[in-house]
Order: sequence, then C-alpha cells, then structure tokens
Amino acid sequence: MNIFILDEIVVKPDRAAEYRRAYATRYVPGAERRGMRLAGQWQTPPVRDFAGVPTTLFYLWTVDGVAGWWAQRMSKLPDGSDERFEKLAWWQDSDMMTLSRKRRMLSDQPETA
Amino acid sequence: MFVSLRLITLPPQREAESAPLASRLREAAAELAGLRSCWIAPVSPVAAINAGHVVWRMNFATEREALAVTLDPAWQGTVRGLLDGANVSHVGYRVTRSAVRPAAGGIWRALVFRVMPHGFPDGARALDDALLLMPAHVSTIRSWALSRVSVCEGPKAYTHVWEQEFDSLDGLTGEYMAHPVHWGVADAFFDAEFPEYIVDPQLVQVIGAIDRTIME
Repeated sequence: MNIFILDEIVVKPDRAAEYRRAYATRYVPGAERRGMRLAGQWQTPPVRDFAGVPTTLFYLWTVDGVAGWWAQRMSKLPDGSDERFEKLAWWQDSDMMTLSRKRRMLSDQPETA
Repeated sequence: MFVSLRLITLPPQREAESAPLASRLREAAAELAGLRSCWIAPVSPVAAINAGHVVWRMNFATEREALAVTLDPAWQGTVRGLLDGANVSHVGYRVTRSAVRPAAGGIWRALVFRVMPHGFPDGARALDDALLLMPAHVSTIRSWALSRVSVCEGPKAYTHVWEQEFDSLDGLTGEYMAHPVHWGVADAFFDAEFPEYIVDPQLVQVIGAIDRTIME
C-alpha cells in the first residue's frame, strides 16, 4: 500500500524563500533518514512569490506502507533516544514563519466496482 | 462506575518482587470495603511505556467509596506497608463512555495520558471523537472505555485513560496498530509533527494478562 504524507503550509507574506530554505536544510535530511521520500513540492500562487501575499507550500512524502509509516513516527536518534523532541523543535521554530499548517495522510483510492 | 487505577513502580533493587507484591496486594484487597471488583497483575514488559511493575485496577460504585478506601483499616494496616518505598501513580475516573463485551482471557491495555493545556477544550474534544472511531472500526477491540480523569496523584497530571481489552496481544500489535483510522486519523493528536498535537509525550502504556473481562 502506498501511503503519502502531505504537508500544506501557509507561509507569512515575504517569508516563503526563507521557509523553503529552512525546510530543505533542517527538515528534509532528517525525514529522509527516517525513511520518508520526497515525491514532490509545489506552491501557490504558482511560479513565484508575490510581495505582501502569503505563499502556500505543499510537500508530498511517501513511506513504505504501514510499517514505513510507523518507522518514521517512532524514529530514534543515532544514540537510540526518542527523536520526537527534535521533530517538535523544528515545527515549533518553523511555525513562527507560518500562518497555518496541515499535515494529512493520503493513500490510493479504494478500487470501485 | 468509578475506577481507581494505580501503577506501582518498585525501586531498582526490588523489581523482582512484582509477582509476590501483586499476590500480597490481592490478599489485602479482599479485605477492603466498598470494592466491587479488583484486578492486580504484574505489568507485561511487552510494549510497556512508563508503566511501572504492578498494575492495580479497582471498580467502585462511586467516587466517594474510591476516595475512602485509603482510610480503610485493611489499607492502613497492610496495603500502606506493602506500597512503602514504591512510587505510585493513581488516576481515578468515572466510566461514562464504554462498551464491554464479557469474555474469557486476553489482555487489558490502557493508555494514560495528559492533554496539554493548550489542547482544551477543542483539541481534547476532537481527540475524543477520533479515539471513539477506533472501536467502531478495529474489530479486535472487544471492550473499551474512554474516560476523563477526576482524581490524579503522582508526578504527572494525567487527564485521560483509554482502555481496551483484546483476545490476545496480536489484536493490539496487529489490527489496532495497522488500521488506517489509527495512523491516519487518531494518531495526529499524539504525533509531534502534526498541528493537532496536544498529548504530552510522557504517557503511560500498560498491558496485563487477564483471565476474564475486568472492565464492568
């Protein structure tokens, strides 16, 4: 089963470039170490940021089924300690740049008859 | 129905005493007034989180009886001495949302947790709704109760107790964990990566073997 994790992040006006850099350098490496694979990243308004206008960023991740989902959820640091506090620190810090945020779990649609 | 749930943590040099302590507490509990039923067991080390060594769950008709039990002569004379030197976390809660299907042996599991202050009231209500989806969809849950804590003694101000009974541990580690209503809906409140995150990570998961339904 394919499981997707979709981050939808509304960034404060004029902070989008800063947020994208922070996500790429502070979040992506750890997520990949936890087995998440970045399948796509998009934004709206499209093409470029506009001064004074919030930008909504979308990051779509995949994990290897339910086992892969729990592996990233229950991840440990190299020393064996719980990683959740590092993950929380990232989101608390980065949320200072955002107006709102959603994270949703997605899957393929069930087959219809 | 009012439940008193105690989690007893022994000091390191006494950890091997959990089974005899459970046995002696059972004998003492038989003398306590007001007790409708009682279950005491060593904590299963499987999947235990901050659960201590012995779990003691008592059913009372009322909160008043539950609060009075520590003044009972049997408690003062015996139980207090048995618990001397141990850390005891105690939560008391009225059981209002539950469904119990009496059955034979299996496992009882409880998640005891604290919703952080910023989670009240809206997040806590949404969390309740999400957890209550689980017994409707996870077929291995044979009994359950979701309760708000009204009495709390110990180092942590727990707010919720989420109990289930399963026919076997597989019911918890299998379908319960793998079901999309768990990882796709309810877990958001426990996962530090979600904006819905409201549950203090210092929670308790306690599991014990039962030979019959202990949830009334």
